[in-house]
Amino acid sequence: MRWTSRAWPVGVVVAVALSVIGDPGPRATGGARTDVLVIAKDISDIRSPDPAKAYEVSSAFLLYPLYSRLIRQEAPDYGKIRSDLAESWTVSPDAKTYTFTLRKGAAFAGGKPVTSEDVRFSLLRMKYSKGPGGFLADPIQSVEAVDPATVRVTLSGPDATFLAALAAQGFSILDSKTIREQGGVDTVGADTLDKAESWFFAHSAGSGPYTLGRFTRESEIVYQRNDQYFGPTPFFRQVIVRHVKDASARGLLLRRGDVDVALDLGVDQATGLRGASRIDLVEGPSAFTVYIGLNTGVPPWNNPKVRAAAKYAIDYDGIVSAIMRGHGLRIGSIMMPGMLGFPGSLNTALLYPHDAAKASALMKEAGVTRASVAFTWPSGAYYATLPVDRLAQKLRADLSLIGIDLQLQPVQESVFLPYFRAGKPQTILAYWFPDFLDPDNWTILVNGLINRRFHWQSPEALKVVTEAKATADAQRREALYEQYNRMLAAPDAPYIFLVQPANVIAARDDLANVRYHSLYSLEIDALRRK
Amino acid sequence: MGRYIFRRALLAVPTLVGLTIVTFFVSHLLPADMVLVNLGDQAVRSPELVAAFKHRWGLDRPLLVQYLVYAGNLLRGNLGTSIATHRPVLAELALSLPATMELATAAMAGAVAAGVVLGVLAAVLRDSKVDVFARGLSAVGVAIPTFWFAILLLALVYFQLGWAPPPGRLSAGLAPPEPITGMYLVDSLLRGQVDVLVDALRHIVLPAIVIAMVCLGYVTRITRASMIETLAEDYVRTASAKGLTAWAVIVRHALRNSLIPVITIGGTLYAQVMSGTVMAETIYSWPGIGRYAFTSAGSMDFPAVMGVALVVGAVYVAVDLCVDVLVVWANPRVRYR
Amino acid sequence: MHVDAVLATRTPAGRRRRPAVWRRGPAAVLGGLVVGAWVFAAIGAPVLTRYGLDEQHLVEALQPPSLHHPFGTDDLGRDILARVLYGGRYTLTLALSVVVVAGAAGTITGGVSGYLGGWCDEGLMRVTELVMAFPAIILAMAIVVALGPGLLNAGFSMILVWWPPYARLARGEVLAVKHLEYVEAATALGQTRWGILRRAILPNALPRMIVLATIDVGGAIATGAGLSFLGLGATPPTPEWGAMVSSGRDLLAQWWVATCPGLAIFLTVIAFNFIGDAVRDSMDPRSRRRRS
Repeated sequence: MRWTSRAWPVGVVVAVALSVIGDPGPRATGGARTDVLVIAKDISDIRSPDPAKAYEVSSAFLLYPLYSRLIRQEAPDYGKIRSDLAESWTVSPDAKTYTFTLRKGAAFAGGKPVTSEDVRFSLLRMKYSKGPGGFLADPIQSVEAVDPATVRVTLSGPDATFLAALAAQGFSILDSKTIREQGGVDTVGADTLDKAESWFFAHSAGSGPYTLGRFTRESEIVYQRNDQYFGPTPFFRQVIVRHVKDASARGLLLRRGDVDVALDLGVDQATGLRGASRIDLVEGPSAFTVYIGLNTGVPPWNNPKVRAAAKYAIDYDGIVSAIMRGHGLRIGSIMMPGMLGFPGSLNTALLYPHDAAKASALMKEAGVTRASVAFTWPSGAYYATLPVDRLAQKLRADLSLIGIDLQLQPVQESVFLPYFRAGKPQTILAYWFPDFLDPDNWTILVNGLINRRFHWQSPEALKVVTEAKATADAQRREALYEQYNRMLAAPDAPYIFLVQPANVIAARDDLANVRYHSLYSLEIDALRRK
Repeated sequence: MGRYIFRRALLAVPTLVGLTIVTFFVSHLLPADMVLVNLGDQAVRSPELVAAFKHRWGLDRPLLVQYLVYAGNLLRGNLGTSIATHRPVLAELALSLPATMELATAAMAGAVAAGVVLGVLAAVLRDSKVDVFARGLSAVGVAIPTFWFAILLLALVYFQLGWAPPPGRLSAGLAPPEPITGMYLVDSLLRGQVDVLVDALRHIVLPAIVIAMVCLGYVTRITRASMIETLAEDYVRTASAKGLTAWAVIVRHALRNSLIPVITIGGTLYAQVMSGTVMAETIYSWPGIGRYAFTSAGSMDFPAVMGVALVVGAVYVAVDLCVDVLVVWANPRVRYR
Repeated sequence: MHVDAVLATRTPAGRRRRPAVWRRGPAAVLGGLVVGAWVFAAIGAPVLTRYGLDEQHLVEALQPPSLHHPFGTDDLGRDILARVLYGGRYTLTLALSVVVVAGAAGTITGGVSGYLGGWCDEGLMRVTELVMAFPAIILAMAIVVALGPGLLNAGFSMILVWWPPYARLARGEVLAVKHLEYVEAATALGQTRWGILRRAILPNALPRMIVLATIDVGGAIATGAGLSFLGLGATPPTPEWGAMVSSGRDLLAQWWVATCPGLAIFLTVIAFNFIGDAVRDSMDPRSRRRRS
């Protein structure tokens, strides 16, 4: 019949499509790329490569090799603060004054030496530009260039965490002369007067191991090695980051040998790439801690018993085993287990069991049989390896069993954070990703930054973390942060802590030193071919 | 003829003006949250910052005044500054528009060439295997969902078979040619960079095929149908009765006349393609205007949104105009309205 | 977008060249069968499958097609066949609603405009050209960002850009018959303008509008699926076919997750195209095959 013959192009397409997906293996690249590294990553969240305005996970990745900061923290031992541009430092006993002695011989790419004036300029520009990460510079009261090699930072109040905060991307040290020429401003009013931001889209003014060769938004980043870098010379002469939106496509490129490293992989790629030829998987805990935030201003979350009920209603093990396929672990509070003040034992103790009966009983006590509430998350997003769409749908199924109907309303990724910051969502699948690696950065759930969005306060917890911030005594801090975590896990708190997903990096097996960094994703300058 | 062109062009002006009004008001549909998107936490904490932001982007003046300022800038060639990147929208468009034009043109060229050949063959060899294949391919081309086809091709041709390079315009690390038109194929040709030309060609194949599929479907169909009608005309019968070879009959007499509907369709398709490349561009990492529109609208970057809408709309109006003129030129018997 | 509809309006008025007939018969029948099957499946889904559209069995996630699950399972262990069947409801409802509403609105607008003529007519034609020139994707995004995601809002944004081809066609049809004798006769007989429009003109225009609408449904299905694919339409867990393909994007090794809904879209669109072709051939006497 005619129609069968008309349909055979369809048949061809379908048949080819249905052929088994094997593992064709990498293309023969003929050994071309020894000193050039190609990375596949989703860089669409980068809004600004200007350190004073940068605040995204991918912009931290972008800025890390271009700039140095005063101190550094290397994976995996984040407790230790090492010197970067600051060779040594002293902290006043009241933790209000920090004095840094700059390393000799550090220079910006291009040769100009790094001086205290550059540090002063960079810190104040960051503070007064009022970018999304500007709050990190709030403690700074004044920065003084005592002499070309000494900087004194005076804080407005005692703050023992300031040193760790200096590793944040916003505190990258810029070449003040170059940026001033481009219209950079380091005084009050920088938020309107500074004109330098657009310059950063095509250039870098740092003293890091690489310089910016090219940045094309949502397309490509090209790094060139800075041969005058004061630290160990990186192995790769050129590093190219290709923007690839789909996680599976990143996996495909790696398999085919078109890239050396694939970042931002999801659970499906982590499972699918296991055992692939000539590919190594590097897995470790990510810095994402995922939780559900409940807006206590809307029903049913305004009822503390309902909040508690929800905590017992979730099938946590199902999430870890089926949604995350074992790539991650449960968390009982917002911090990463293993950090100061949150040992693994405490984490386990704070976990809620999945107890449907108890959940229903609590709902009864609350007097709520049915409730409908909106549930928001960034559409199509991944928190490290965790597929958020999938998790949201699972949570809906779980909570529907106790009568809470979650209306799924994902929003575009680019507007998710603003909506969140405005306190609009009723229920939100959120995460925390650190700006710097000190427990103080995780106090955002009570210090006003995040909890304000849920219309919730805990004066006791706030007192605890304020004290912990000001104390330099490690043991005291540990006890205080443990207290903080316990308070966060209380049944009436508007947070349901879920998981810390694992991060998986897939790389060709001829690469060494592939390590995940909790702030910058990947330490590019450490990579080398075996 | 000249009068017709002039009249037609004149008629396009109110459309363009209307376009600016519509784009302006649609992008201001994106509500006040746009402030929040671009300021973040600071906005919520500080009313002065909100006021300063609004003032900077002229949002604190009445809507009509804002429009007039916008229109005035437009006349001077200033499309505003993107909130997301703080660069002139014109500069951003100068990067993304050529990318899409290159893709659309390559796809259309391929589709028209293949479609016309296939359509003619199908018409001449009615009800043969060729005809059946052409009609089948046409039906498939018209019906297949672009996004699905794009994913399918990527998985099969790139991954399984390894015949195509990975998504993107150029291979990693290869510097694009110094821009003249912004289209890599053209620029690399003009600058004599053969290696870049070849690389760019290899990269454009897959996304072009995805886009061409739909066009191929329509072009084949219309060519075939038009050719069949033309072949039945008296003058064709006369020509073949006169003893001309089939080839001469087809090419010299029938083809030209049957191509008129094809021109019409071609123009319309081109305009449609220009505004609908989002799928192919996202999946093949093609930094074109479709994707730019999508991300700008998503991040409520209203100057960018206005710029894109305006440019795409203007292209559409221009293509419409060209097609009208071409049709009238090709067949003076036809007159619109 | 809906190229068919747009193309239908590009043929010059006056001397219309109708494309010659495709083989009628088997194709149209097949098309009708497929569409009928989908409609039946969509309505009868609860009977045809014992799985719900959001019935998650996490342990059975990502199973390839088998006897239990003819289309396999997705990432949450849901039966894909069930979701495809239920999905037909959303996809078809959206597409049909858009075509009907936009078609009606466009027809009335164009018809009235053509009949009234003058500045009103000119103005309206400028407006239709404007709407056609405006990139639909931006409008859809603006609406979704302003009003929130969801099929209703997606449908709304589609209707806003879908009507112009109908307006143009209706106007063309009205213009073609406006000056014919029977209309003039009706005027002379004292019929009201509305009366004439309703009784004499529109019934002649209607067949071609119906043809257009039928062919257009395929385009509406594809566009609706495309919007959901981009995240601008259906919200989870709605099993709209485009959204299902999108969720299969990151699961290329589990080809059935993206392929099955994609095939559903493909088959439905092609079926509507076949039907549309046949409808056009049967309704338009001028398109009957000419004897050489």
